[in-house]
Amino acid sequence: MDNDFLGNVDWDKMWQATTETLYMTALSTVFTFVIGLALGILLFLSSPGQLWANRFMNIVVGAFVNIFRSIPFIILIILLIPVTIFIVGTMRGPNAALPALIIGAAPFYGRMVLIALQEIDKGVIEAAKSMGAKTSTIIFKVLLPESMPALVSGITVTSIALVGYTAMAGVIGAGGLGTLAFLDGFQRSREDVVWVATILILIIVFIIQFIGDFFVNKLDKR
Amino acid sequence: MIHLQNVVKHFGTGSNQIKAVDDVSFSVQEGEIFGIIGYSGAGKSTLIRLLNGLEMPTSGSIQVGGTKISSTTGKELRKARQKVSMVFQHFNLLWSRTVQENIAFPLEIAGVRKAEREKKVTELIELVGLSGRADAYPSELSGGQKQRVGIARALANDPEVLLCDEATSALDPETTDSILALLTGINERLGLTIVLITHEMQVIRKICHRVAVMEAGKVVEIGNVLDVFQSPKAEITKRFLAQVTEPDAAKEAIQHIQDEVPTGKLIKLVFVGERTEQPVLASLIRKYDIDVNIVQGNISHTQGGAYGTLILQLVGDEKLVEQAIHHLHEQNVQTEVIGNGQ
Repeated sequence: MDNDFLGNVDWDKMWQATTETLYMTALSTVFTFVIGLALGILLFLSSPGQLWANRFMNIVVGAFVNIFRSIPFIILIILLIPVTIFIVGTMRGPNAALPALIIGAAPFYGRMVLIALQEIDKGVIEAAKSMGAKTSTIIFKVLLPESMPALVSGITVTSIALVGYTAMAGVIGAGGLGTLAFLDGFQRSREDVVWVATILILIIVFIIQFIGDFFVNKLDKR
Repeated sequence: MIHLQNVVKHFGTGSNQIKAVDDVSFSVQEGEIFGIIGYSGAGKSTLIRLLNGLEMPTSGSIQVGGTKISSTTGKELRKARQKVSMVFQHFNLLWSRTVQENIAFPLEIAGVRKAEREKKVTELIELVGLSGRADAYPSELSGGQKQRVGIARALANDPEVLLCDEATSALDPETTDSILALLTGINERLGLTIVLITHEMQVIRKICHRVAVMEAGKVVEIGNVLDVFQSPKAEITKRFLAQVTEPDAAKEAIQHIQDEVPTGKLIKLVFVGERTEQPVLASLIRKYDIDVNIVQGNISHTQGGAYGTLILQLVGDEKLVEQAIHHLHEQNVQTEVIGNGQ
């Protein structure tokens, strides 16, 4: 081990790992948002007494969400290897982590969307119906705007969880700060690399939290 | 305007089945303010939701304007709902929208163009007395102001019928009065038919032309407000009337006078219309040699005329008291003995 603190840190590599982490987090957050939103809305509308009340659909979607939310991420990555190879064509690089990240996080976010939608006053939905609103109008003009602060704080939490998942995705060689800290830092006993990677991850998390809080405050007119 | 024929609405099945509305038939005339009163659980909320198809009847037919709501679905029903709008107890505004955006919402649903929407919204804000608050969010408004937004929103698509679901029940008495005045004004100016449900007889008294009393899913009494006030038939109607005519203070006054003067006979007089202005009491005292204690009295004004009650205690020779009561009957004053002396 080098006595010079930070002497082991290869800043070019560190920067590249940071962009990989940001890339994986950003892209998986976008997909998770869209898919989770769809899952949450489907769960909400198919639940008893709602617009598309449908026991079968509710149970199927609910089971999907619960199963994929419950599988530990590290196991999910391994289980999804064939799927990843089929979709991405390789098991290496940041893109290879995306399927597992999205499939792991979207059901989790879907649950949060469901909870956010359940918080909406039933009366407001009834009011929209009484004005002759179509279901699509109710979704885009009532459900989404009225639950927006909760949806945003939910995606903030999910996005932060995704930063953690990207680090775990290092085991399949996805790259990013997690891989760097593990392979270059821990396995070679270069503590300074571990520390720098950790601090960079923390900074990313704080920035995500700050942006999330900013928008929640701006959106919430209650 | 509105016709209900043998309307039945069940919820649940088997032993859990609840008859929310049980064989109800009545009509509401165009331009009328029609009140439905009942305690919670009487089925009035379900009934009013049948009128815009938020609930569909188990059997029976419902016609509103030219549309048979009970057999309309999908796009047709959504179209019909634009002409039968609703005002809610808890306002049900979108908190994420400003006052003007809330009022514009039904216009967006109806596909009205932006320029036209803005013009209409400005008019409505003026109409309900919210000028200057167009850009406020619901959280910045008082209860009464929120309900004004609710009413403006309900009027946006020029409806033929306005349904009010306990529209004043969440408001304090003073705000209730201002909202009721607004509704009466809209009814007179726009000729809008209003159906409202409430558990407060004061609301019926102040603005309704006709009233239906509901109990356990059935309409037990229906008629002009003044007629129902004058001679209620159902037991439950009498209880509702007591809200208006016998406040708790009256019960205390009656108790007090019975303790003080145990020999007197308590009678309740009901005056309607012109009778309220004639000196019935003065002639009674002049004619019969009895003492008259005034226990409690009030006069209230309904849409159909004035209505008053007076509770008296008559003390004196039993025969004379009987004659006095008879005299009142002859004067066409409705008289009821509500307590005898010991």
